Amino acid sequence: MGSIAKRSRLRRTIFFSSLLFCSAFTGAHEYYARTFKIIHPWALPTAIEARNAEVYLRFEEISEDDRLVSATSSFAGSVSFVDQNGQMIDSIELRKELEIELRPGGVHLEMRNLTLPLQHERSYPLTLIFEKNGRIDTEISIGAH
Amino acid sequence: MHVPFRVRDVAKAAAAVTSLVVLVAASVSVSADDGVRIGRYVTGDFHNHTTCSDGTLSLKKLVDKSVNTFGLDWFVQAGHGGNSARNCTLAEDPFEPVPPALGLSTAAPRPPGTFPSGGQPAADVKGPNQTWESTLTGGVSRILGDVVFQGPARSMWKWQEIQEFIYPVIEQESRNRDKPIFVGLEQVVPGHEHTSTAIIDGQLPESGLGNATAMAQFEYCFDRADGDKSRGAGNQWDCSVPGSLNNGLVDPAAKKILVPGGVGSGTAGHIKTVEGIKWMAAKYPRTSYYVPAHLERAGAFNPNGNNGFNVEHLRNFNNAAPNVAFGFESMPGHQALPGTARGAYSANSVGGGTYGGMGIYAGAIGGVWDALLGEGRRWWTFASSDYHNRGGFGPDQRESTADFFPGEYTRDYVNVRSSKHGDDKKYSTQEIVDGLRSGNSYHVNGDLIDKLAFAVCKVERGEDKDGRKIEREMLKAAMRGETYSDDDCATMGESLTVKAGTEVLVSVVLRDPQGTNYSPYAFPNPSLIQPGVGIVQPLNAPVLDHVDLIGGNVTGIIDPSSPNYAGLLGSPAATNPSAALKATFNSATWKSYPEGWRSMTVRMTIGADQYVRLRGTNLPPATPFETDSKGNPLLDPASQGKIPCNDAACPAHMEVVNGIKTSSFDVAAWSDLWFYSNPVFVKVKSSNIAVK
Repeated sequence: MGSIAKRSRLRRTIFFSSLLFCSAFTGAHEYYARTFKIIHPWALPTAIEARNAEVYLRFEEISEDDRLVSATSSFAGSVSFVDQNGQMIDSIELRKELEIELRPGGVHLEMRNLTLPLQHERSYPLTLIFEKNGRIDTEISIGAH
Repeated sequence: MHVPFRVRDVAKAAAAVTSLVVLVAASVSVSADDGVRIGRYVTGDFHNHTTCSDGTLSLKKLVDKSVNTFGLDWFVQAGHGGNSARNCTLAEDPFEPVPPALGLSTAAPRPPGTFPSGGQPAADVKGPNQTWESTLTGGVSRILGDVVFQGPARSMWKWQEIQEFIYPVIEQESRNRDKPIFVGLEQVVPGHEHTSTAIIDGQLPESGLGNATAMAQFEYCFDRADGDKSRGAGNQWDCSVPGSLNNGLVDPAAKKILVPGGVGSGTAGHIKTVEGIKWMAAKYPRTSYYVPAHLERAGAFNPNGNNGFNVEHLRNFNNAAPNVAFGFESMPGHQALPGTARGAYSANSVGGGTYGGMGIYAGAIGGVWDALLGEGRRWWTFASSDYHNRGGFGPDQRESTADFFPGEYTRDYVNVRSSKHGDDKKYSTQEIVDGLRSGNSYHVNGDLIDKLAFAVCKVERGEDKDGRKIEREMLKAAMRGETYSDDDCATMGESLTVKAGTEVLVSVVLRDPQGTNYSPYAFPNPSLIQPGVGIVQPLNAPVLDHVDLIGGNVTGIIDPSSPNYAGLLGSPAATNPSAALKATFNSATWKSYPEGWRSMTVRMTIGADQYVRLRGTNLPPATPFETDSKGNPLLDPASQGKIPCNDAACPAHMEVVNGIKTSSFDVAAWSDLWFYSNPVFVKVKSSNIAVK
């Protein structure tokens, strides 16, 4: 477990560092923690029969290291963290002065056992728990990529 | 289908006014000679979103909801700067919810839980979530400027969206609906968070096609999220400010100031932002406005990042251009989010959240707003919907766990003084901007009131020592929907000059409209039915409980070199210790007239320069979890999960705590309603205090 976690962390670090050079210039839908910003959590709409949904967002202006340790939503049985290889990971690290993007094909969140299909033109609650910054309540915007 | 919306059509309004004039004339002997100059309050919204930024609806559908379904008189479409991939000019396909969804069916007639839109026909089965790249003739080659992607699709910079795509749709909507509908911007602010702004130059000319090129250029030049360096492609814009000493900061290639992230970015960003305000003032002094939004949400100012606004930044904006930066959007949108996040505020916001839906800068007596007014600054309060979506509900449903449509819950009432009165009551975009700048405005949630006349008058005139003539004239003007104005009085945004020791009459006339507002809920207000209050009042038929008169002294403009110029909430810089609750009016002290008209007065002896302003609410003082014993609004997150929603009709989406439904989301918002007026200043003749 320890070695896998270390490898995952290494992969994440490499990935996140690369994002420093391709930051997007989107606008708002922002949430403010004490030491970072969460930018625009979003997901694609899901089919009626879908059980899972991927969720993406970005962390900006990280002034202290922190770690996303858990997430919940009233519209899902659970929310997991998944790396770029589709493997579940325990947490997502936020490194000072890096910009971290959770994106399709990369590290992302996954809502499992959806209680309702996620529909266009709507938003759904997502609570993120950080090691240092504690609880941040956000809304996942559907389709607004 | 009959939806019990408040009736607003002109014929019924005219009939009501006629009947009331008769009633009031009988009781107070209305004079035929009113001597008033005519103005009119019109309702609008200037901060909202479509799929051109991170909203969920097309331009057309949002306009339709705002000015048709909810009947706003004017509307500014103002999404975020930066870039986006979706083509918001495409109309929605017919709305097809995913069953079982949340209560909406497509069966005709639509069920009571829906707000049927006037409808935008499907355009070739292309909804507004499709990308620019996939829907424009010519595809990606039509997208200008530096290449940027949102996901797999190429994004378009906002300046191009505004200039080439958004404006033509908005102009056509304005022409079709015969209302001032124009393009603004919610600027992503360098060094700070967001600002609602517009430049109307070029928009909606009296004849021919207009343009929003000035608005587009501002976005390119001064929006933090606009990383394009192409100078607006063929526009070849130059963002330097005439005569500015900071033009040396302008990048020679991009022709705009580029602010790198990291250490010092907040401070450098603020400098760029002030340059933007100076640019507006230099080029568009009458046709622009700059109103920071949800000031407290992002926390205090951060010199090394992009966070909130402190009082000194508002002073800097106002000093740079008092006729452009003249107020703040202190009542944020997103009012139906859960109490822990009402207004999209969090525990990390300045003040820890909203207070009766208001940010603490204006929601607390003696705070930032009073500090600015205490300098004599003409600094006004506004409100907007910030509409993105309705949370877990669809756009045609009436419940919301996130936002309300423009005009559904929050309205800005802005005075316009048009040259086209009489039978032709049209008004121009310029008159809307002039009205915003004038300070003669107020904002209301949940249609708590729908008419307001607020004036301070000299009462030394021998013929009207008791102030009854003033009251009559104000009633008459308000009933006609017109602005009260008199040479011996000053109203919101104005200043009355009197001799020291003069007694003045503060007079308020308003209407608590009868009937229902746009709330879909008729069960008793959960906040009012709590033990200790015991008022049974339908949630969709609020009753004004009381009105507070708040005032403070004006002591003059603070110099930027003063230690009291800059500071955090609670510091001397952000405090006006003289601000206080001066009087409270309620059913025991105001005069009541038919159809909800109320009149209230108080006399004040003026010894020094000062101002007075109003707030009102449906909640009595000491309403548990809502107001304190003096009637001040309490921190909204503290009420979350505390107020039971026990009625059988309480909707299913309420938060459940210990097995009990609690007032939350839209129900909590409809329960807790406020209005705020802008101030009236009173100046003593011998005073040499300078004001902005």
